[in-house]
Amino acid sequence: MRLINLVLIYMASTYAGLPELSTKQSLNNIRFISQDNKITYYQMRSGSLSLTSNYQNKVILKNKMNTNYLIHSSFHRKKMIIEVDENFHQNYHFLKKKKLYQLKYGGSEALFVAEGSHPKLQLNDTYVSFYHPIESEIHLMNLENKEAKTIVIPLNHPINPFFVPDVVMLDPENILFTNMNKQGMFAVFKYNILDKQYINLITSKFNGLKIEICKSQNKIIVGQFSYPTLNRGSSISKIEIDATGSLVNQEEIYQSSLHDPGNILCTDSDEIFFVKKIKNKNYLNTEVASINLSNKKLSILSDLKKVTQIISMDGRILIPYREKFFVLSGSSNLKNDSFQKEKKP
Amino acid sequence: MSLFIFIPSSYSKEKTKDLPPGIFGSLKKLVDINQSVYLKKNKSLLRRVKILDELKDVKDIQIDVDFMTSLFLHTQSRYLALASEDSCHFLNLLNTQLVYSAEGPVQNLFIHYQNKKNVPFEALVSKEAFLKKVVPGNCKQIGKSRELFNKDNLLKTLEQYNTVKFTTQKECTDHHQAFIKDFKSPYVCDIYEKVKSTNRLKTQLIRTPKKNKRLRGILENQISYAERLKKKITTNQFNTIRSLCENINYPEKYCEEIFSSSFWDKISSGEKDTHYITLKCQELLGKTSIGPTDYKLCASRLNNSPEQCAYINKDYPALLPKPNCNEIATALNYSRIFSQYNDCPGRMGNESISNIGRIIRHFTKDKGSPDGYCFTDTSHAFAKLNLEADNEKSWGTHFCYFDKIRNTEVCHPTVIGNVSDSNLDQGRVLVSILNRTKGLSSETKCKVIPSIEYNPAILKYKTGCYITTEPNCLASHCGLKVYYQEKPQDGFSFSSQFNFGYLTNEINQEQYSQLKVLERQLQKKNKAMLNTTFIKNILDEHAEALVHGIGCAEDILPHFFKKTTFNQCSPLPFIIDGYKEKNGFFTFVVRTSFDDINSPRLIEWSYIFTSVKNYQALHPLNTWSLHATY
Repeated sequence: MRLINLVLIYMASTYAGLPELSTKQSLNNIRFISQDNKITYYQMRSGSLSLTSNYQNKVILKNKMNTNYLIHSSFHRKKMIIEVDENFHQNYHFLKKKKLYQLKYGGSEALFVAEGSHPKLQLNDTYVSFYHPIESEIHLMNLENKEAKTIVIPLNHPINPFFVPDVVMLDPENILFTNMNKQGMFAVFKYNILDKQYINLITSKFNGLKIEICKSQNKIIVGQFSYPTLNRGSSISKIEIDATGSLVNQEEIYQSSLHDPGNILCTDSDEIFFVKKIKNKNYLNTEVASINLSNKKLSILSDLKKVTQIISMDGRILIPYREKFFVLSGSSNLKNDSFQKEKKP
Repeated sequence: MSLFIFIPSSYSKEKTKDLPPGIFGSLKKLVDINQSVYLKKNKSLLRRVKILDELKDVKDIQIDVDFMTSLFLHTQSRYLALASEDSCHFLNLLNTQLVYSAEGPVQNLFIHYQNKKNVPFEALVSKEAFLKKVVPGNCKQIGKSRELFNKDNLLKTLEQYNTVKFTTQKECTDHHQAFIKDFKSPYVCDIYEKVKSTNRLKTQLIRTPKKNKRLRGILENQISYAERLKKKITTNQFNTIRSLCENINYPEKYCEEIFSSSFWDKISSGEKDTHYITLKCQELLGKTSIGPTDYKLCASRLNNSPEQCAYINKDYPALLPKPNCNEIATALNYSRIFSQYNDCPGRMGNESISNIGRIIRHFTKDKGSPDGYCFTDTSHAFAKLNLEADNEKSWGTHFCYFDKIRNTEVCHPTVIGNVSDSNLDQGRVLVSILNRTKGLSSETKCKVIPSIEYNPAILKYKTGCYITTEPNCLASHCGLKVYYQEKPQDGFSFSSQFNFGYLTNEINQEQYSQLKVLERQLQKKNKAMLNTTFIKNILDEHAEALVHGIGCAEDILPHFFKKTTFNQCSPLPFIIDGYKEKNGFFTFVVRTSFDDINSPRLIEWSYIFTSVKNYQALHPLNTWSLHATY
């Protein structure tokens, strides 16, 4: 068993002051680092996924060589979902289903859940949603009750074969998801699993506008972003979830005439993040922006020119950029390499 | 052509107020001085008109320097560029109506010559006589070029100017350079100027008094000649020649005109093939059969409503929205990939097969057959090449049965769909199995159809053999049933599983990677493309070269795909087949394996580089995937 010393070093970056994430182990092998740096999941070329915590190492899953793993978590920190692709380099198929496993946050016992793609933890990590692309079905499984039946929401086959819906569970009976019609217009639907009814909540005014949804505290964030070459502008709205679970008080909090990439990231704070287009003389750059949901204040947080994505890893907000990860916000700087002493009760 | 003219020493002998203003003097003054000198000399030489043919033992015939100066000052500078290569090119230009002196189009020349006693003389001779004397001995190409523009050969010669087929900046610049050096070019530009002048001459004719019969006669002849020429030259040819002749001194402007002109207009004028828009036009016009007038109307609609391209042809599933018509047209101006077919990447089920299949079809110019599904031909191209390369592991679609005689399971590779004249045709493979297991006649033809079409209540389906495919059929995976004389058939199994390396994933398995298979079977070379200069050079130097690689979909198409977790990457093969460069900034013509083959995207280098770099980081051998195959 290898002992792996893991130290997070925040280095001064050449890119306008954003610290760069770096570790002793190759970043390419890492799949998850907890905010306090105590837990790391990493994969090996041999096909294993391992956990290292407090200088102890344990193999969680073992598959064939060059298996690729992804770990999905949420800010509730109760459960994690592992996505396993045994043929990541041998079968490039965007619509393929992968094996999904659940484990406790920071745990090492992985339990098989189902096969699917694009998993997402829902409702305080009690449910997982995933997608069956070829059948065009959203699946929702209860992670705490194995006996509970999987909820299946069939969608009309989208005209874009590579479309993946966004899914947000409001409660165990009501699910929000995005879909697109034959004309290419996006909509947000609310589905009730008891009466199996679809209610169209929001429809984009034009085709060429994608809709993204996510949940931030007690609000649903709805972003409408133009695809390139069909510029319809961009906008973000928030909708509150009241005590009865109904959606009320829709309010626009951002608007732009440019076609932002979007890729909204909701957090457990009052801030959301997204990728925004910015005009710079004759060029259009893309940077990370944040909006405060209370005062609608927009802030530009990066100066990298060609940002495309933004992710959260256990609350640490990262900008993946040309093989590197720049830390936008997250936990405090931990350079301590020593053993963590257990606190006596 | 330089505006600064070194005044020859003949001027220094003149003690008049016509002294030149100096080397950096006013051009107008130079022209005026030259005109004055010319007219004086002309007047003097008119008394010494010579018929050159009658002169004997004439040697060292040279054009008078003042006369040459007059030619330089009065001929359009762009046409002088056609004379700059050598003296033969100058004489070739002189042979047309493009050369002007102070008097107008050159009819006579001032010459110097020596007799056999080396005594120098000056004379005025006709242009024809001069050229007849000087050209044959020294510049034989001129005679041949002239012949190409006679009455019998003109139409055939003009065909050369029908279409411009280059797709890179370098090809365009080389073509422009070649035009300048071509002995035919002055005659072509002469034709252009004559046709162009038709309206001006007609106006001049209207303004010429009727009593001036001589001038009117000349103008009428010129107009008549120009109109006869106009009938012989097509619009396409005229536009090509116009662009070349107007931009002789401006290769960048010439190339910019070529690449920025609407690709749809090029199709409607016949300059480009119609296959790029046939499917689009069928949908837009609601017609199956499209004629020349329809293409013109369709092209006009694509130009005027660019958004129409975004959600078109949904029966051929691909990533939507597609680019708008303007972006597609711009991209196609720089594109070179063979695309005389329509495939459906949304139904391939394996992006590597899509990408490699397209590369194979580009080099083999495979148009496919009309019988199969939209994915059949591309998957067939992939399967055929790999099986010929003894790379059976890469093709995972098989019909299998238990051979009782050999007491073992036997599997035969096949593709889903009908492929005429191929051993991989699904019907043919199935018949061979049923022949072996159930004694079915080998002459039987099994047809592959969607299950929704199969209806045994209809007489047609009561006899014969049918393989029905489920609605969500993909090239890599498809549920199917077999019926013969209405009865479901069994005794065989159908499996489909794909695991092969686009790149080399393990060190000792290099020969089985698709890169190596392409190299071996198509006898091509592969070269890693590390930066924009590599790509530019390879595309410029090799007309058929394609660049291809694998990047993360979330980085190359960030508007379409979102990352939600650390080190997330959806590998996406893509092809680059052209580039557009402006001020050192590169945009590439890209078809990802999600995209429609006839709707390319323009993607900045930054996104391509990031996506390839991110995939490289995850690759077991840290392989840089971007390669050119040529």
